[in-house]
Amino acid sequence: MKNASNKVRLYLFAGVVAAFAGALWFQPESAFSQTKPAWQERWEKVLADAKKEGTVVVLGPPGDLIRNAMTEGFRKAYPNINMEYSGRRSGEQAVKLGAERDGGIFSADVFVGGPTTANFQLKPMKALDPVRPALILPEVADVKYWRDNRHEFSDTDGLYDLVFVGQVSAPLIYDPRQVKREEIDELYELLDPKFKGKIVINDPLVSGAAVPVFRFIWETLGPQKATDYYKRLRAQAGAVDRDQRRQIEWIAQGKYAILVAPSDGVMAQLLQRGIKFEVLEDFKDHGTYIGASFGTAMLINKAPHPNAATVFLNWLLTKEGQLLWSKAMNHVSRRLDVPIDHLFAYTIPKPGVKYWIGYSEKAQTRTPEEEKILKDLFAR
Amino acid sequence: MPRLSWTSIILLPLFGVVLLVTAYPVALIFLKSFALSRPGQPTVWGLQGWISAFGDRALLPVLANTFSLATVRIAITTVLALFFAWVVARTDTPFKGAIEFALWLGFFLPLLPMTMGWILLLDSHYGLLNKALVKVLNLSAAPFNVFSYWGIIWCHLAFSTSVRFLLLTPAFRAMDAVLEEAAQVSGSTTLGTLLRITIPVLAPAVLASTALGFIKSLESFEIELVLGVPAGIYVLPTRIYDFLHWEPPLYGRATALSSVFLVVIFALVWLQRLMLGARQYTTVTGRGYLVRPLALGAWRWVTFAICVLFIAVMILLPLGTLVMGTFMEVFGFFDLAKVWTARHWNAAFHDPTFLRSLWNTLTLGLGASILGTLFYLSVSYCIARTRLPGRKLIDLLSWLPWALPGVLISLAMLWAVLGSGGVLKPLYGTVSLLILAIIVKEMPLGSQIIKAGVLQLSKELEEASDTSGASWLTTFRRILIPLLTPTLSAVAIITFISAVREIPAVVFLSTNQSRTISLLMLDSIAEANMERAAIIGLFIVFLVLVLLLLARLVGSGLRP
Repeated sequence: MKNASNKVRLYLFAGVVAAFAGALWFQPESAFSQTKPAWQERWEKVLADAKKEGTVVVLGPPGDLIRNAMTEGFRKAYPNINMEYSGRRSGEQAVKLGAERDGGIFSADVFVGGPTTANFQLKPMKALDPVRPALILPEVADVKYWRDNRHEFSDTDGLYDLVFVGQVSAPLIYDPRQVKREEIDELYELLDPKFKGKIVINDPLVSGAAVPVFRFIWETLGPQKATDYYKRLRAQAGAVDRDQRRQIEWIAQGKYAILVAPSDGVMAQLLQRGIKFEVLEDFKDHGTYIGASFGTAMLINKAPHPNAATVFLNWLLTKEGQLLWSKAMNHVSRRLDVPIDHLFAYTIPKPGVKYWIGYSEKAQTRTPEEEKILKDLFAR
Repeated sequence: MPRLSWTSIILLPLFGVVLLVTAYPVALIFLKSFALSRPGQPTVWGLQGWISAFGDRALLPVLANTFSLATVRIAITTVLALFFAWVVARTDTPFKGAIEFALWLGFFLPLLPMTMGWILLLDSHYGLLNKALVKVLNLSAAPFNVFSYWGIIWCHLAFSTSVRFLLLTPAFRAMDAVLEEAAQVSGSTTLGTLLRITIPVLAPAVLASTALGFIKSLESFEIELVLGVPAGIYVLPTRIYDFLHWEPPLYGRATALSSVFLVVIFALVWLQRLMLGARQYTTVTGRGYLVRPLALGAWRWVTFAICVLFIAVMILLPLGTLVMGTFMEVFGFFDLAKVWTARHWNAAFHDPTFLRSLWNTLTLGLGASILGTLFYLSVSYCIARTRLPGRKLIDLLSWLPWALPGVLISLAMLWAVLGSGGVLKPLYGTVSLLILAIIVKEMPLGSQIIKAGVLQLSKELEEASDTSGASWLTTFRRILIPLLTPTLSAVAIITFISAVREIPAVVFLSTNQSRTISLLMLDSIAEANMERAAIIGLFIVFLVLVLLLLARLVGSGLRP
């Protein structure tokens, strides 16, 4: 009896298993799709809608290298979505965008540019949508792929301006035929009388690389010491210049010995082309700062192609998109899996070193006191 | 009178158009300069922008530099341009055609890359010419420094002289030689005839070109920015440039400073009217006129030598340096592992947007030059030949676009078009809007030069046509236009060049679909790739020369 009842139980169990397996086998396909991760379902829908929209309009930095890298890279990845890339200086882009919106024209989808424009023009204009909800692809949304295990934002709300570039900005370059590295690797060494007339300063009164360098000095030394430092540094200068390329060439040609606040982008381009000068990546005593350059991304609200904008944003933040950006702009991506072998070593942040963050909304704002002293010293 | 009324019916709407395209955008941007609020915030009005702009203690030396540089430049270029126009149009100097062509070339060449050529030659540390002179003459220091007051003036000479030569030559050509011959028969020397007869008779053209040149000199900033800033020489346009390139741009302050130009323009227009007064400046009458060139004898070789010297030193030398530089890995660096390369040329012409940009550029250039010249002719005719009420106001308004830098014109047009509530909005994103912007921007030059040309023509020519029964339109078409052809051609060419190489005036109005070659050049400048920017600049020169030759061929083919 016991054997019989065991057999019955066994048959019953086998029957239940078979029925369950059969039920699974004959389930309609839709039931399988429920097993797809939520992100994938959402991505497929966004992609399908983006294809219907057909176009994405991106406002980005000027230059044919970045324009061609973005348009060709995106076309290869998503051949059914046409990209219209418009490259201009960020400030001008924002003014044009504002005028268009005032006139009832909403033509742009994504803005890729400097954090100053994001925080002081586009955010007050209420032209931005939060970025986080649009991060869909796991390799983009998952913070483990990003430096410091987080998505970085330049705006204090942490919503609108996603920072995808973070690189060490060199405070100065020098001519090794005239100066030894150890003579200038501390901030106050630049004030040595032997350098009087041998220093070029990139003008801090116009937008560009000099603004964050002088902000860094101000924040690092504090108002009182920084005021004194600015005055003494200005007195050392042989020239104050705005042409970001020529001032670097002056160092390479030996016309001046030291350039304070060189432009990262121009410097990288000229180094690649074989011009010779040395880079001081940080001061031994005060370090340096991390900048984002043009490497921050925003979503424009009331966009004509919101789904295509989401597809572009996700693509830009993938390893592939970031590598193309990095190669075209010589920028260090905040993504951890993007190769860095094509970049100059001095731009890559060193582990364990604390840098001043130059791209945050707070860091970009000059105090009235600082504004005044810079004007007094540099405006003529 | 009924005929005047008929003319008025045709021409009055033109006044409306001039008002709309000049006064409205300029008024709009001046109004917005009083807005203090940041984008997206409720508008607050105030004088803060103006107070900040004019409260700057550094402004006085800046103004002094601006006026000093402009005055010296205009004095030198007036003498040079008058001389060259006289040589080409009124004398028997040999190879006049080649001299004229070379001087035109001076106007076509891109300013910024040409300045790079001068820096490579005249930098006090590494300038090639300086190095050569130090070696040959055994000097202890470089004799020239391009980063200086006189360096700025020197680098301006070729372009400024060429443009004024271009404006003056048609007037010299349209002058009856009988006046000069009468002076010489009366015992005047060649120089005396030039100074006492030729130049005074051409006063409207000389004054118009001087006024235009002076304002353009005041507004010039590219060379001043490159050469002046390192030398500590700041001018008003570089200060405006600072405001425009601040982040976010300070358009209010830039507009406030631009009001200085407005004051200068009003003063110059008033001065011009005062000097010309009610005198007659007709040099072309119904009697038929003599264009026989003045025989200079052996002196013609002296005039020829002066022209060749100017062209060789001021145009060909920096041009040669510039062309050489485009084949260098880095312009001016002879100590690199790989000095020479053709890759900049390859890259410039392999941009995927190049062909579309080229097409847009040609459309813009031809559209602006044809429509613009017709428009300027109509405006000038109204001012010089009719008694329509308000014509003096139109004369004044036609100067307005030069009261603002190109970027602000572009912004003003953007605001005007997008705020037009659907009337002009469809133009946005098309090349048509760029054409409109160029026509507006070049209106002072076009209308003033054609006006000077019209003032040279005696009214008796039109009256004779009228008496013979020709309609107003027939007289306009068969008498006025043929006599003005040299002036109209010069204006058309200048407008074409301005259109194809303009950047600031179109920067806010262009979109992906209406991008021009000059904006590709801007891309290269933004990447600090001056070699490629220079190549695009040279390509624009080539384009203009090809079109000029084609126009000449077509013109000679059509001639009976």
